[in-house]
Amino acid sequence: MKEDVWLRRVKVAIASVLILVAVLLLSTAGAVFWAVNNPRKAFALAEKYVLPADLKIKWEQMDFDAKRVTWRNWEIDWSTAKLTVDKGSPEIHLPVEQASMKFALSFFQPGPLLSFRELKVATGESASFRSSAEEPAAKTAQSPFEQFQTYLEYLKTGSKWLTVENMNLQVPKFALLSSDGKSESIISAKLTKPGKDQNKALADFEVTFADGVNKFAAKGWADTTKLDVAAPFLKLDAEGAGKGWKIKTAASGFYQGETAKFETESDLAVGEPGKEIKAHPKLNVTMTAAEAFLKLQSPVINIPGPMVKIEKLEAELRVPFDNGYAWSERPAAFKVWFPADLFFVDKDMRPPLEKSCRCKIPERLVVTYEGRAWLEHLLGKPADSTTVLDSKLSVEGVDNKLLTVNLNAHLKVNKLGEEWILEPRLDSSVLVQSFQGLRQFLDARNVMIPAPLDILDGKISLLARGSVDHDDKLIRTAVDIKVALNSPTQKIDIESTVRLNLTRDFKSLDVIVQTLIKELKIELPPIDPIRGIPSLKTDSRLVFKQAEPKKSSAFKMRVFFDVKTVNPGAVKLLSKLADPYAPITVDVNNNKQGESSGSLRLEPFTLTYLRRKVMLERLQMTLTENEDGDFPIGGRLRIDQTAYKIFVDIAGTAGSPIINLNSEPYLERADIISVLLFDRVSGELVSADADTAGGVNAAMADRAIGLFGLWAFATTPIRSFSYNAVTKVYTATVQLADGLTAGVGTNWERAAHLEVRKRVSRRWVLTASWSPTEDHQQVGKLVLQWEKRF
Amino acid sequence: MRALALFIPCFLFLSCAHKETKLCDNVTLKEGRLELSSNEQVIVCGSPKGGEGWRDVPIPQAQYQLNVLLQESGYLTPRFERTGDRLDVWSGPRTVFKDLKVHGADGLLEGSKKRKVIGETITPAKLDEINQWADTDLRSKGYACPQVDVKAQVWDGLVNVSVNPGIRQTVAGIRRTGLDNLDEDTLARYLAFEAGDWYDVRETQLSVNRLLSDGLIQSAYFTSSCRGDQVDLHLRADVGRPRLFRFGVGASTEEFPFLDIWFKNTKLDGRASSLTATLYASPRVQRFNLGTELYILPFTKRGYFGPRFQTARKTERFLEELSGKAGADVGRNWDKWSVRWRGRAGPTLNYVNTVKGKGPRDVLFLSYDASLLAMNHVYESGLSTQFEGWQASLDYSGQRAELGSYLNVDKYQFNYKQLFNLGGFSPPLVVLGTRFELTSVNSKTDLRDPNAKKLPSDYRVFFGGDDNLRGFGRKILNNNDFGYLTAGYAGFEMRLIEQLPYHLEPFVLYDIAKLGDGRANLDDPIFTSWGLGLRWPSPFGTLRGSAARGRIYNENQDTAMYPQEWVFFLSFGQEF
Repeated sequence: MKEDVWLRRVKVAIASVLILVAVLLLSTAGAVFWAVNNPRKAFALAEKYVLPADLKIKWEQMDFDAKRVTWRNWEIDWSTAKLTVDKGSPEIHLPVEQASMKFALSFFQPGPLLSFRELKVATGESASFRSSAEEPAAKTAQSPFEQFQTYLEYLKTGSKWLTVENMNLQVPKFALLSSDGKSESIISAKLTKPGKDQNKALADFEVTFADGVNKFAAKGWADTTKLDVAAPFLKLDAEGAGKGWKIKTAASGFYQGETAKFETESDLAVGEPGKEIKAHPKLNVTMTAAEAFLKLQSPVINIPGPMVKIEKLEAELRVPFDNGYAWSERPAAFKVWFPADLFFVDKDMRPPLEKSCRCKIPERLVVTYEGRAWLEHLLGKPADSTTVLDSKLSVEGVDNKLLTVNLNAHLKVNKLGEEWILEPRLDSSVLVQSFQGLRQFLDARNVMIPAPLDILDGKISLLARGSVDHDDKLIRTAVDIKVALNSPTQKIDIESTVRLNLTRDFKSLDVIVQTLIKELKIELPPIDPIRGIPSLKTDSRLVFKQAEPKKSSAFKMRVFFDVKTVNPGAVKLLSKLADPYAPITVDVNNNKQGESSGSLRLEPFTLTYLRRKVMLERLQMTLTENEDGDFPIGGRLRIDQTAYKIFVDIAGTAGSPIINLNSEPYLERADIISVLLFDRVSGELVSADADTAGGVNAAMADRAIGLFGLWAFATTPIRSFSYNAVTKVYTATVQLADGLTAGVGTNWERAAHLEVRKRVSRRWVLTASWSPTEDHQQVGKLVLQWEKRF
Repeated sequence: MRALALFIPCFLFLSCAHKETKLCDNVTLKEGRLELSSNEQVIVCGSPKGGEGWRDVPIPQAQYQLNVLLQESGYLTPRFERTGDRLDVWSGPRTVFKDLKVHGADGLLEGSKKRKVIGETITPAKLDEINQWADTDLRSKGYACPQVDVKAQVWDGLVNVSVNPGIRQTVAGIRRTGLDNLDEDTLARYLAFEAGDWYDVRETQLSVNRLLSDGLIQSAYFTSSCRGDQVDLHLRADVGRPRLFRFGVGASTEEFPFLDIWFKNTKLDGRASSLTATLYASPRVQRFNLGTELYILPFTKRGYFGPRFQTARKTERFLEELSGKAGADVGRNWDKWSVRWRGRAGPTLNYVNTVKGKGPRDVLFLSYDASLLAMNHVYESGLSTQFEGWQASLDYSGQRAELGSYLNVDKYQFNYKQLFNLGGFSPPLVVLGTRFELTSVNSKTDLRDPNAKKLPSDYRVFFGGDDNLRGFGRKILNNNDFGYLTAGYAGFEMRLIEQLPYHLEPFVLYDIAKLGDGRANLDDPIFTSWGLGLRWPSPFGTLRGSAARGRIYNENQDTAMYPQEWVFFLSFGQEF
């Protein structure tokens, strides 16, 4: 009984299932039949209940025809025209002018399930895609090699149940728009497979890309039948050009199940025509499940460098893979290196340089940039601050009797979310072991180390160590410089710190120099001041070439300085005129507006020349520019002359000094000048000497004679002086230490009153003169004359 | 001309191939000319006199410094070649100015008028000269504080003079210091300008020259400060002690030897009245002079009363004369219309005794003298250069029988001289000098009358010499030692400036004159002279030499005695 019940129940169930299946089949068949005959209504229902709300598909014409060859073989033809696909986000607009498929379905028999005899799609020219501001979809948890392998395995598997005899997919113009609509790129693509030979290429393809500035075109083929063999399954020839770059490349792809390889060889040119940097990079990429290894080698032509020449460059990148992970937790290792030729050391320089450094000068130094990168975090958004890059830039060290050079820079990058945290660090030092060696080297290059500095010897060190500070706006680092040079009589002992503040956009650099002069003792040239101070620089009024309009550079550099002497008078100028030397105190700096401030101060010393001793009590120049761009000065000189103490008070500016003369006991200005020139007050002068003193007075007032002139005339016996206030030209004859006379000033023929005289004694003067007078009585005379004014 | 002067010695000696010059032990000038001063030697070559640091100069420094020094000499494109520790230098050619353009002067300055620039070597000294030319010219035209910027373009030889003259300024006022207790009005008689006049730097210098030449002031100078359209002047002076005594022996271009004793009291009172006494003795003249200028007249700052006394003995080839004069003048010195005026008039008691020659013997008479001199400031300020300006004078001297004399005679003399800078160049290219003289002695006495001996020599006109007719000897046209009563003269001279080396100035001359031995009457013969000359403005005076030939047209028996031949003059201190 029970069995019957169970059997009946089973039968009922089977009948029910069969009925249900039949109903389903009939329903489905009916639905399909209805849908095929009423596609618009069917699609309207699908749009309403199945497809995303922002997807709209419309067509003007659609034909579907299914023929039963046998119950297991069906021939299906489908075609449509004027089909338009629109999607809201991301925004897609895809007009299809024509699309058709002819394929056969084969069930339950050997061979591919789906055999396309023809597959044709031609889109319209207004196709576009606007990227969404939304975040991209999460990546699959596969390593790049796994993903690549998966795609290829799909292709391999797909080719077993799907064949395509004839394919023609054409996208003549597809616009890629950025989410903000500001930029647009145009892609055109063509994928074809003519003929029936399935064993040949899967497809030929042509792709072009253009964004208004850059243009790129690739052409090639992919052949799935070459997968798992030694022959390439992918060939690609591409050309591209843009603003300042040009590339031509050929690439091949190989896949043998466990290993994928890509080989490319390119011609690359970067830069302005005529000054292009050219390279011929060969790139090999090998991927396995364990890692990807990239190796790049390239000769380089025309790299511009201030001191170096680079002819080739090599790079390696090793990226570990872990199956099941997009990026391994283990770091990728990279290294870029190139030998930099020391081309500035030419054949002529090498022997003296090698002699001075007692070493063999290398012909090139290797510059290396290497490090590790954690790609998982580098490309991701780590929740905690995580190191994503740790790198080092180094130059092959030099160590010899002349120079010790170690140049290293580190860059560590941490990432927190999308925030990058840079930790650069410098570890560099340059030590000039022998300043004389450096001088010889520079001298061979005709670079001037001027006298008297050229005889100094000692060491100069530059040290840049420690982290490079940075914030939202600035990157900051510092270089310490020490100069310790000396000779038997001279000495330079200076410490300096140079701080570099670079803005984050690399458009502005502030260089802040802080210098502490411990001692600076140098010799002045042994020139005789009264014989004229030689010009030390080219006359700025001579213009040697036309001024070309300067291109305003985007990069701006400002230099700030703060120079101080440790002790008053730490700068010592050695001269036979200064006893024991001229001590100078320096305290100068400038601010962010480029305005200088501080002062240069001459400390007390005695200036001795010929018959005079001048005590410089103080002389200070304040480095705060006035409105004319001149610097205020102030000071006092004292000259002890016979019974008088004469004070020369200096005020005004360096360009226009004002000289006030005072004395103890009190004398008038004219008397002071007389005392300075002739050791007597003006009332005691013969008229010729009074004329001279008056001329000097007038010339000083007109600033035709400055402080130096006054000193020069005060220190040397003055023979004659005439001054033309109209032309501001003076002429003077002074007696020098060796008994010779020297003319000072020019244009004697322009002077209004001229006289040659020889002093015979204190009051007797021999004069040859010509004095034009108003009434035209011009008489030349030679007179031996005695004179007294009372 | 300069090129010619260089070429001739080259041609004669056939040795113009340039020899290299050893500037230092290791520096050789292969081409060009450069002489290093002792100080330049130090910074190019080093010096054993210096400390260790300057015993030797590194080659790159020597090269840099030589580049600077060669540029100072006009070699703007030198070439250097270094071989080890040796440096060879090629100066390259000198670069010359090809054009001069003035910007911003708005017609005040004309570049085309500046000479000695185009074709000259570009040097800093030349740029100074151009700067000075522009600055001086503007300061002479009322612009006291001009800004001048000179730049020379080496590649095309163009020199650009950028000028900002500012506003034309008048003299606001004159502050004075150092004049002690001198009356304020004293200064007025020396000043070539007044407050309110356009500023002219030449006039300030002219005023200083007048102050200094008078001896009252030992030193003086003006300083100026600009204030909008006015300029404030400040005269700083130093009044010396008033009494000046000078004793000298010497020789002049006219006399040898001579003794000169001179005394002057420049400050008899607060208005700087003065007394001058001179004793001069030479073989030709022995003279004692006592002169005064007493500023005691009421209602005038510039007028003076001037008692004077003179006694002299004069010996010429044709004359020996003893004389004495005592008189008093009223005079005035003043400036008007940029002209210096000097007027003086007064009676004189004369004593004349002609020992030898034609003239009165042992006479005492009263005469009246007056003079008026006018000289424009341009001429006065350029007395030494003699480039431009004019000067005119009118002199009168007369006697009246009814007023203390033994005869009636009047002498009028008018002189006019003008110098033209032809083309207005700076410096001038050609200076045309003109001078005119009219003399008339109004005397009823016939010169050939025996009574004519009573006529003093001062009332007779003698011609010839460097002063007028240069083709005749000094005072050789003397009418048998009687002299003339009437004379008309015109002289011309054309002088070439700064075209010859050493500032030598050649000139051509032409003089023409008519003379008459009756009053207001010029006789037929025309006296002319033409010739050549050379002027050298030496540092101690002007040396002039001329060679001129005299010629007489419409000759008569009275002129037969005058030689017509080449006459040579060499003068010192004499101008046209």
